[in-house]
Amino acid sequence: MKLDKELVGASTSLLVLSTLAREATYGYRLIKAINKEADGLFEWQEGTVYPILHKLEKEGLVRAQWQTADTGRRRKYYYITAGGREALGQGVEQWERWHGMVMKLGEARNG
Amino acid sequence: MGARLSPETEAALRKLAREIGNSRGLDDDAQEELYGHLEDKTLGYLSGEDGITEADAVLLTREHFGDPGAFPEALAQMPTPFRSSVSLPRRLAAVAVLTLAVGVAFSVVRLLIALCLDRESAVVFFGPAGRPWMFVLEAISLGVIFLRLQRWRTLERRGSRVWYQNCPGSIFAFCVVALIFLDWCVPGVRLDQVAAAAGLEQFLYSLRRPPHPIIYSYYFLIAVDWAPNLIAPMLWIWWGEQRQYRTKATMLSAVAWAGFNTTMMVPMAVFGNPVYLLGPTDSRYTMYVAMGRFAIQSTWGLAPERPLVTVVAWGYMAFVLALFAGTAAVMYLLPSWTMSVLGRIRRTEIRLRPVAR
Repeated sequence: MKLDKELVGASTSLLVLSTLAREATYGYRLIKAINKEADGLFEWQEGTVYPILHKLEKEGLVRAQWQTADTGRRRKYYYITAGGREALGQGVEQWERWHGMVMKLGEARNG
Repeated sequence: MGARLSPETEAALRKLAREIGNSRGLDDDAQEELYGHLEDKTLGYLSGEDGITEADAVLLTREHFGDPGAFPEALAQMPTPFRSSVSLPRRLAAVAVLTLAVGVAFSVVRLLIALCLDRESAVVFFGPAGRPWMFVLEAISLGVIFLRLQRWRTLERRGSRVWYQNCPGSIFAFCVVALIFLDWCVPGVRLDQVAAAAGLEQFLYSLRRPPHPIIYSYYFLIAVDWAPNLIAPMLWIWWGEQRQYRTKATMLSAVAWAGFNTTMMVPMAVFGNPVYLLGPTDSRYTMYVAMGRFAIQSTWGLAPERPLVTVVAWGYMAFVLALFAGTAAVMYLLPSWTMSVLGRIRRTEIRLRPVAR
Protein backbone atom coordinates (compact mmCIF):
# COMPACT_ATOMS: atom_id res chain seq x y z
CA MET A 1 0.00 0.00 0.00
CA LYS A 2 1.34 3.43 -0.96
CA LEU A 3 0.70 6.28 1.45
CA ASP A 4 -1.14 9.39 0.42
CA LYS A 5 1.32 11.97 -0.89
CA GLU A 6 -0.06 14.76 1.28
CA LEU A 7 0.36 12.66 4.40
CA VAL A 8 3.99 11.94 3.56
CA GLY A 9 4.56 15.55 2.54
CA ALA A 10 3.44 16.82 5.93
CA SER A 11 6.08 14.80 7.72
CA THR A 12 9.08 15.11 5.40
CA SER A 13 11.13 17.42 7.65
CA LEU A 14 10.42 15.18 10.61
CA LEU A 15 11.55 12.08 8.74
CA VAL A 16 14.77 13.76 7.64
CA LEU A 17 15.50 15.05 11.15
CA SER A 18 14.73 11.64 12.67
CA THR A 19 17.13 9.92 10.28
CA LEU A 20 19.85 12.49 10.91
CA ALA A 21 19.31 12.19 14.67
CA ARG A 22 20.39 8.57 14.37
CA GLU A 23 23.43 9.28 12.26
CA ALA A 24 24.88 12.16 10.26
CA THR A 25 24.86 11.32 6.59
CA TYR A 26 24.82 12.76 3.07
CA GLY A 27 21.97 13.18 0.58
CA TYR A 28 22.27 9.93 -1.35
CA ARG A 29 22.54 7.78 1.77
CA LEU A 30 19.72 9.64 3.43
CA ILE A 31 17.38 8.87 0.54
CA LYS A 32 18.41 5.22 0.64
CA ALA A 33 17.92 5.02 4.41
CA ILE A 34 14.49 6.61 4.37
CA ASN A 35 13.29 4.56 1.41
CA LYS A 36 14.52 1.42 3.16
CA GLU A 37 12.62 2.35 6.34
CA ALA A 38 9.53 3.19 4.27
CA ASP A 39 9.54 -0.39 3.00
CA GLY A 40 7.42 0.42 -0.03
CA LEU A 41 4.99 2.81 1.69
CA PHE A 42 6.52 5.61 -0.33
CA GLU A 43 9.65 6.27 -2.30
CA TRP A 44 11.54 9.52 -2.12
CA GLN A 45 13.48 10.99 -5.01
CA GLU A 46 16.30 13.53 -5.02
CA GLY A 47 13.83 16.29 -5.78
CA THR A 48 12.18 15.67 -2.43
CA VAL A 49 15.12 15.36 -0.10
CA TYR A 50 17.59 18.05 -1.17
CA PRO A 51 15.18 21.01 -0.90
CA ILE A 52 14.26 19.82 2.60
CA LEU A 53 17.92 19.48 3.61
CA HIS A 54 18.68 22.96 2.32
CA LYS A 55 15.61 24.41 4.00
CA LEU A 56 16.56 22.80 7.31
CA GLU A 57 20.10 24.11 6.92
CA LYS A 58 18.75 27.58 6.30
CA GLU A 59 16.65 27.33 9.45
CA GLY A 60 19.68 26.19 11.44
CA LEU A 61 18.13 22.83 12.28
CA VAL A 62 20.89 20.95 10.47
CA ARG A 63 24.41 21.95 9.51
CA ALA A 64 26.37 20.74 6.51
CA GLN A 65 30.02 19.79 6.40
CA TRP A 66 32.18 18.34 3.66
CA GLN A 67 34.05 15.24 4.79
CA THR A 68 35.38 11.99 3.48
CA ALA A 69 32.86 9.14 3.47
CA ASP A 70 33.83 5.55 4.23
CA THR A 71 33.94 5.04 0.46
CA GLY A 72 36.88 7.43 0.41
CA ARG A 73 34.92 10.08 -1.47
CA ARG A 74 34.16 13.61 -0.32
CA ARG A 75 30.52 14.04 0.52
CA LYS A 76 28.46 16.79 2.09
CA TYR A 77 27.34 15.40 5.43
CA TYR A 78 24.35 16.82 7.23
CA TYR A 79 24.32 16.94 11.03
CA ILE A 80 21.33 17.65 13.21
CA THR A 81 21.87 20.66 15.50
CA ALA A 82 20.63 21.22 19.05
CA GLY A 83 17.83 23.32 17.58
CA GLY A 84 17.04 20.47 15.18
CA ARG A 85 16.74 17.98 18.04
CA GLU A 86 14.42 20.32 19.87
CA ALA A 87 12.28 20.82 16.76
CA LEU A 88 12.25 17.06 16.25
CA GLY A 89 11.04 16.49 19.81
CA GLN A 90 8.26 19.01 19.35
CA GLY A 91 7.33 17.58 15.96
CA VAL A 92 7.13 14.03 17.29
CA GLU A 93 4.99 15.22 20.17
CA GLN A 94 2.61 16.91 17.74
CA TRP A 95 2.44 13.77 15.61
CA GLU A 96 1.69 11.66 18.63
CA ARG A 97 -1.20 13.90 19.56
CA TRP A 98 -2.43 13.94 15.98
CA HIS A 99 -2.11 10.18 15.79
CA GLY A 100 -3.98 9.79 19.08
CA MET A 101 -6.82 11.96 17.85
CA VAL A 102 -7.09 10.09 14.54
CA MET A 103 -7.10 6.75 16.35
CA LYS A 104 -9.75 7.95 18.78
CA LEU A 105 -11.96 9.10 15.93
CA GLY A 106 -11.31 5.83 14.16
CA GLU A 107 -12.42 3.87 17.22
CA ALA A 108 -15.57 5.96 17.48
CA ARG A 109 -16.37 5.17 13.86
CA ASN A 110 -15.96 1.47 14.48
CA GLY A 111 -18.33 1.71 17.43
CA MET B 1 37.19 1.98 0.40
CA GLY B 2 34.38 1.71 -2.14
CA ALA B 3 34.50 0.78 -5.79
CA ARG B 4 36.25 3.23 -8.07
CA LEU B 5 35.01 4.58 -11.35
CA SER B 6 37.29 4.90 -14.30
CA PRO B 7 38.71 8.37 -15.06
CA GLU B 8 36.57 8.47 -18.23
CA THR B 9 33.39 7.83 -16.25
CA GLU B 10 34.36 10.38 -13.62
CA ALA B 11 35.01 12.90 -16.38
CA ALA B 12 31.64 12.13 -17.96
CA LEU B 13 29.88 12.61 -14.62
CA ARG B 14 31.79 15.84 -13.95
CA LYS B 15 30.67 17.08 -17.34
CA LEU B 16 27.08 16.08 -16.62
CA ALA B 17 27.17 17.82 -13.22
CA ARG B 18 28.63 20.92 -14.86
CA GLU B 19 25.99 20.89 -17.61
CA ILE B 20 23.14 20.59 -15.13
CA GLY B 21 24.74 23.03 -12.72
CA ASN B 22 25.46 25.71 -15.32
CA SER B 23 21.99 25.42 -16.83
CA ARG B 24 20.51 25.93 -13.37
CA GLY B 25 22.96 28.52 -12.09
CA LEU B 26 24.25 26.29 -9.27
CA ASP B 27 27.32 27.42 -7.39
CA ASP B 28 30.47 25.30 -6.96
CA ASP B 29 29.29 23.85 -3.67
CA ALA B 30 25.97 22.69 -5.10
CA GLN B 31 27.67 21.34 -8.24
CA GLU B 32 30.05 19.34 -6.08
CA GLU B 33 27.12 17.93 -4.11
CA LEU B 34 25.38 17.10 -7.37
CA TYR B 35 28.50 15.37 -8.69
CA GLY B 36 28.72 13.29 -5.51
CA HIS B 37 25.13 12.24 -5.92
CA LEU B 38 25.64 11.32 -9.60
CA GLU B 39 28.68 9.30 -8.64
CA ASP B 40 26.77 7.39 -5.96
CA LYS B 41 23.87 6.86 -8.32
CA THR B 42 26.16 5.45 -11.01
CA LEU B 43 27.89 3.18 -8.50
CA GLY B 44 24.45 2.10 -7.36
CA TYR B 45 23.57 1.03 -10.88
CA LEU B 46 26.90 -0.75 -11.22
CA SER B 47 26.43 -2.68 -8.02
CA GLY B 48 23.02 -3.97 -9.14
CA GLU B 49 22.46 -7.65 -9.74
CA ASP B 50 22.19 -7.13 -13.50
CA GLY B 51 25.72 -6.09 -14.11
CA ILE B 52 26.04 -3.20 -16.52
CA THR B 53 29.02 -1.37 -17.97
CA GLU B 54 30.17 2.00 -16.67
CA ALA B 55 29.12 3.65 -19.91
CA ASP B 56 25.62 2.21 -19.54
CA ALA B 57 25.53 3.38 -15.92
CA VAL B 58 26.42 6.91 -17.00
CA LEU B 59 23.68 6.75 -19.62
CA LEU B 60 21.18 5.59 -16.98
CA THR B 61 22.29 8.35 -14.64
CA ARG B 62 22.03 10.90 -17.42
CA GLU B 63 18.59 9.53 -18.26
CA HIS B 64 17.56 9.71 -14.61
CA PHE B 65 18.59 13.34 -14.37
CA GLY B 66 17.39 14.17 -17.85
CA ASP B 67 14.24 15.67 -16.40
CA PRO B 68 15.21 19.27 -15.84
CA GLY B 69 12.45 19.67 -13.32
CA ALA B 70 13.74 17.16 -10.80
CA PHE B 71 17.05 17.24 -8.99
CA PRO B 72 18.63 20.33 -10.55
CA GLU B 73 15.52 22.31 -9.67
CA ALA B 74 15.82 21.09 -6.13
CA LEU B 75 19.45 22.07 -5.86
CA ALA B 76 18.68 25.45 -7.34
CA GLN B 77 16.75 26.17 -4.15
CA MET B 78 20.00 26.38 -2.23
CA PRO B 79 19.73 29.03 0.48
CA THR B 80 23.11 30.45 -0.43
CA PRO B 81 23.61 30.22 -4.19
CA PHE B 82 27.03 31.79 -3.92
CA ARG B 83 29.88 31.10 -1.53
CA SER B 84 33.05 33.04 -1.90
CA SER B 85 36.38 31.31 -1.62
CA VAL B 86 37.84 34.53 -0.20
CA SER B 87 38.02 34.84 3.59
CA LEU B 88 35.55 37.05 5.43
CA PRO B 89 38.15 39.59 6.74
CA ARG B 90 39.51 40.02 3.23
CA ARG B 91 36.03 40.53 1.79
CA LEU B 92 35.17 43.06 4.49
CA ALA B 93 38.44 44.91 3.86
CA ALA B 94 37.59 45.05 0.16
CA VAL B 95 34.12 46.43 0.80
CA ALA B 96 35.59 48.95 3.27
CA VAL B 97 37.95 50.27 0.61
CA LEU B 98 35.12 50.40 -1.93
CA THR B 99 32.74 52.18 0.46
CA LEU B 100 35.37 54.76 1.39
CA ALA B 101 36.31 55.32 -2.25
CA VAL B 102 32.68 55.88 -3.23
CA GLY B 103 32.29 58.12 -0.17
CA VAL B 104 35.17 60.33 -1.30
CA ALA B 105 33.73 60.50 -4.80
CA PHE B 106 30.36 61.39 -3.30
CA SER B 107 31.93 64.21 -1.26
CA VAL B 108 33.60 65.56 -4.39
CA VAL B 109 30.27 65.55 -6.23
CA ARG B 110 28.61 67.42 -3.37
CA LEU B 111 31.42 69.94 -3.35
CA LEU B 112 31.15 70.46 -7.11
CA ILE B 113 27.41 71.00 -6.78
CA ALA B 114 28.02 73.51 -3.99
CA LEU B 115 30.58 75.39 -6.08
CA CYS B 116 28.23 75.55 -9.04
CA LEU B 117 25.35 77.00 -7.02
CA ASP B 118 25.01 80.51 -5.73
CA ARG B 119 24.71 80.90 -1.96
CA GLU B 120 20.90 81.02 -1.84
CA SER B 121 20.46 78.00 -4.08
CA ALA B 122 23.08 76.09 -2.13
CA VAL B 123 21.25 76.80 1.09
CA VAL B 124 18.08 75.35 -0.39
CA PHE B 125 19.88 72.37 -1.89
CA PHE B 126 21.87 71.44 1.19
CA GLY B 127 19.34 72.57 3.75
CA PRO B 128 16.44 70.52 5.09
CA ALA B 129 14.44 71.13 1.92
CA GLY B 130 17.23 69.54 -0.07
CA ARG B 131 17.42 66.35 1.98
CA PRO B 132 15.49 64.27 -0.55
CA TRP B 133 18.05 65.29 -3.17
CA MET B 134 20.87 64.27 -0.87
CA PHE B 135 19.08 60.99 -0.34
CA VAL B 136 19.00 60.47 -4.10
CA LEU B 137 22.74 61.11 -4.30
CA GLU B 138 23.41 58.71 -1.42
CA ALA B 139 21.15 56.10 -3.01
CA ILE B 140 23.16 56.43 -6.21
CA SER B 141 26.41 55.93 -4.30
CA LEU B 142 24.94 52.81 -2.62
CA GLY B 143 23.79 51.58 -6.02
CA VAL B 144 27.34 52.03 -7.33
CA ILE B 145 28.71 50.01 -4.40
CA PHE B 146 26.13 47.28 -4.94
CA LEU B 147 26.81 47.01 -8.69
CA ARG B 148 30.57 46.85 -8.06
CA LEU B 149 30.10 44.07 -5.49
CA GLN B 150 27.85 42.19 -7.91
CA ARG B 151 30.56 42.48 -10.55
CA TRP B 152 33.21 41.11 -8.18
CA ARG B 153 30.91 38.20 -7.35
CA THR B 154 30.45 37.44 -11.01
CA LEU B 155 34.21 37.49 -11.56
CA GLU B 156 34.75 35.18 -8.58
CA ARG B 157 32.06 32.81 -9.83
CA ARG B 158 33.75 32.62 -13.21
CA GLY B 159 37.05 31.87 -11.54
CA SER B 160 38.62 35.16 -12.67
CA ARG B 161 41.11 36.90 -10.41
CA VAL B 162 39.79 39.76 -8.36
CA TRP B 163 42.19 42.33 -6.86
CA TYR B 164 41.34 41.63 -3.21
CA GLN B 165 42.03 37.88 -3.44
CA ASN B 166 45.79 38.27 -3.10
CA CYS B 167 46.08 41.87 -1.98
CA PRO B 168 48.50 42.16 1.01
CA GLY B 169 47.06 43.34 4.30
CA SER B 170 49.41 46.34 4.33
CA ILE B 171 47.93 47.58 1.04
CA PHE B 172 44.41 47.25 2.47
CA ALA B 173 45.45 49.22 5.55
CA PHE B 174 47.14 51.89 3.43
CA CYS B 175 44.08 52.25 1.19
CA VAL B 176 41.75 52.61 4.17
CA VAL B 177 43.94 55.21 5.91
CA ALA B 178 44.59 57.11 2.67
CA LEU B 179 40.91 57.21 1.76
CA ILE B 180 39.89 58.34 5.23
CA PHE B 181 42.49 61.12 5.02
CA LEU B 182 41.32 62.05 1.53
CA ASP B 183 37.72 62.16 2.66
CA TRP B 184 38.75 64.36 5.55
CA CYS B 185 40.58 66.70 3.16
CA VAL B 186 37.72 67.06 0.72
CA PRO B 187 35.71 70.05 1.90
CA GLY B 188 32.39 68.32 2.25
CA VAL B 189 29.21 70.25 2.73
CA ARG B 190 27.17 69.43 5.78
CA LEU B 191 23.44 69.97 5.70
CA ASP B 192 23.06 71.77 9.01
CA GLN B 193 25.95 74.13 8.41
CA VAL B 194 24.40 75.55 5.30
CA ALA B 195 20.96 75.53 6.86
CA ALA B 196 22.37 77.59 9.69
CA ALA B 197 23.79 80.05 7.19
CA ALA B 198 20.27 80.63 5.95
CA GLY B 199 19.10 81.57 9.42
CA LEU B 200 17.53 78.21 10.15
CA GLU B 201 19.03 77.97 13.63
CA GLN B 202 15.70 78.64 15.22
CA PHE B 203 14.12 75.97 13.08
CA LEU B 204 16.65 73.36 14.08
CA TYR B 205 16.69 74.54 17.64
CA SER B 206 12.94 74.07 17.85
CA LEU B 207 13.57 70.32 17.82
CA ARG B 208 13.84 70.65 21.59
CA ARG B 209 11.03 73.18 21.95
CA PRO B 210 7.24 72.74 21.74
CA PRO B 211 7.00 71.44 18.20
CA HIS B 212 6.11 73.72 15.37
CA PRO B 213 3.89 71.99 12.76
CA ILE B 214 6.73 72.11 10.25
CA ILE B 215 8.75 69.86 12.54
CA TYR B 216 6.74 66.81 11.41
CA SER B 217 7.85 67.22 7.83
CA TYR B 218 11.38 67.63 9.17
CA TYR B 219 11.08 64.28 10.98
CA PHE B 220 10.07 62.74 7.67
CA LEU B 221 13.12 64.23 5.99
CA ILE B 222 15.34 62.85 8.74
CA ALA B 223 13.77 59.42 8.22
CA VAL B 224 14.49 59.65 4.49
CA ASP B 225 18.03 60.69 5.27
CA TRP B 226 18.47 57.65 7.50
CA ALA B 227 17.48 55.13 4.87
CA PRO B 228 20.96 54.92 3.30
CA ASN B 229 22.38 54.40 6.78
CA LEU B 230 20.21 51.31 7.08
CA ILE B 231 20.95 50.03 3.60
CA ALA B 232 24.72 50.42 3.88
CA PRO B 233 25.23 47.84 6.68
CA MET B 234 22.84 45.48 4.90
CA LEU B 235 25.10 45.67 1.85
CA TRP B 236 28.09 44.88 4.02
CA ILE B 237 26.40 41.86 5.56
CA TRP B 238 25.18 40.66 2.20
CA TRP B 239 28.75 40.86 0.96
CA GLY B 240 30.30 39.18 3.99
CA GLU B 241 27.47 36.66 4.16
CA GLN B 242 27.17 34.21 7.04
CA ARG B 243 25.54 31.55 4.91
CA GLN B 244 22.24 30.34 6.38
CA TYR B 245 22.16 33.18 8.91
CA ARG B 246 22.28 35.93 6.32
CA THR B 247 18.61 36.98 6.38
CA LYS B 248 18.35 36.99 10.15
CA ALA B 249 21.70 38.72 10.54
CA THR B 250 20.68 41.39 8.03
CA MET B 251 17.43 42.15 9.79
CA LEU B 252 19.03 42.16 13.22
CA SER B 253 21.82 44.43 12.06
CA ALA B 254 19.35 46.85 10.50
CA VAL B 255 17.45 47.02 13.78
CA ALA B 256 20.70 47.32 15.74
CA TRP B 257 21.90 50.10 13.47
CA ALA B 258 18.66 52.03 13.92
CA GLY B 259 18.78 51.38 17.67
CA PHE B 260 22.38 52.50 17.86
CA ASN B 261 21.68 55.76 16.06
CA THR B 262 18.61 56.42 18.15
CA THR B 263 20.22 55.75 21.51
CA MET B 264 23.30 57.72 20.56
CA MET B 265 21.10 60.69 19.79
CA VAL B 266 19.39 60.65 23.19
CA PRO B 267 22.00 62.72 25.10
CA MET B 268 22.28 65.12 22.20
CA ALA B 269 18.53 65.61 22.08
CA VAL B 270 18.23 65.97 25.86
CA PHE B 271 21.36 67.92 26.70
CA GLY B 272 22.34 69.20 23.26
CA ASN B 273 23.18 72.83 22.89
CA PRO B 274 23.36 73.64 19.19
CA VAL B 275 25.80 76.45 18.56
CA TYR B 276 26.54 77.96 15.19
CA LEU B 277 29.96 79.48 14.91
CA LEU B 278 31.41 81.66 12.23
CA GLY B 279 34.90 80.96 11.07
CA PRO B 280 37.25 77.99 11.10
CA THR B 281 37.72 75.75 14.08
CA ASP B 282 39.83 73.00 12.55
CA SER B 283 41.61 72.20 9.34
CA ARG B 284 38.50 70.78 7.72
CA TYR B 285 36.69 74.07 8.13
CA THR B 286 39.78 76.00 7.19
CA MET B 287 39.24 74.41 3.81
CA TYR B 288 35.77 75.92 3.74
CA VAL B 289 37.19 79.34 4.39
CA ALA B 290 39.79 78.80 1.71
CA MET B 291 36.99 77.91 -0.69
CA GLY B 292 35.30 81.15 0.20
CA ARG B 293 31.95 79.52 0.90
CA PHE B 294 30.00 78.06 3.79
CA ALA B 295 32.34 79.35 6.45
CA ILE B 296 29.90 78.40 9.13
CA GLN B 297 30.05 75.47 11.46
CA SER B 298 27.28 74.10 13.60
CA THR B 299 28.25 72.29 16.76
CA TRP B 300 26.00 70.08 18.81
CA GLY B 301 27.85 70.80 22.02
CA LEU B 302 26.76 69.28 25.31
CA ALA B 303 25.67 71.67 28.03
CA PRO B 304 29.03 73.27 28.94
CA GLU B 305 27.65 74.87 32.06
CA ARG B 306 26.99 71.44 33.57
CA PRO B 307 30.19 69.36 33.27
CA LEU B 308 28.66 66.38 35.09
CA VAL B 309 25.97 66.17 32.42
CA THR B 310 28.65 66.15 29.77
CA VAL B 311 30.58 63.36 31.49
CA VAL B 312 27.45 61.26 32.03
CA ALA B 313 26.27 61.81 28.47
CA TRP B 314 29.60 60.87 26.92
CA GLY B 315 29.85 57.88 29.27
CA TYR B 316 26.41 56.80 28.17
CA MET B 317 27.37 57.07 24.50
CA ALA B 318 30.58 55.13 25.10
CA PHE B 319 28.53 52.41 26.81
CA VAL B 320 26.03 52.26 23.93
CA LEU B 321 28.87 52.09 21.42
CA ALA B 322 30.56 49.25 23.34
CA LEU B 323 27.24 47.43 23.70
CA PHE B 324 26.47 47.51 19.99
CA ALA B 325 30.06 46.81 18.96
CA GLY B 326 30.10 43.82 21.36
CA THR B 327 26.79 42.53 20.03
CA ALA B 328 27.97 42.86 16.46
CA ALA B 329 31.21 41.06 17.30
CA VAL B 330 29.33 38.17 18.91
CA MET B 331 26.99 37.95 15.93
CA TYR B 332 29.85 37.75 13.47
CA LEU B 333 32.19 35.56 15.48
CA LEU B 334 29.61 33.21 17.00
CA PRO B 335 26.74 33.13 14.49
CA SER B 336 25.64 29.60 15.42
CA TRP B 337 25.42 30.44 19.09
CA THR B 338 23.58 33.73 18.43
CA MET B 339 21.04 32.09 16.19
CA SER B 340 20.50 29.16 18.54
CA VAL B 341 19.78 31.64 21.37
CA LEU B 342 17.36 33.54 19.15
CA GLY B 343 15.81 30.26 18.05
CA ARG B 344 15.27 29.26 21.66
CA ILE B 345 13.56 32.56 22.38
CA ARG B 346 11.27 32.09 19.40
CA ARG B 347 10.40 28.52 20.33
CA THR B 348 9.83 29.47 23.96
CA GLU B 349 7.27 32.01 22.85
CA ILE B 350 5.53 29.37 20.80
CA ARG B 351 5.49 26.96 23.72
CA LEU B 352 3.89 29.55 25.95
CA ARG B 353 0.72 29.37 23.90
CA PRO B 354 -1.91 27.16 25.57
CA VAL B 355 -2.37 23.82 23.87
CA ALA B 356 -5.97 22.78 23.33
CA ARG B 357 -6.55 19.28 24.64
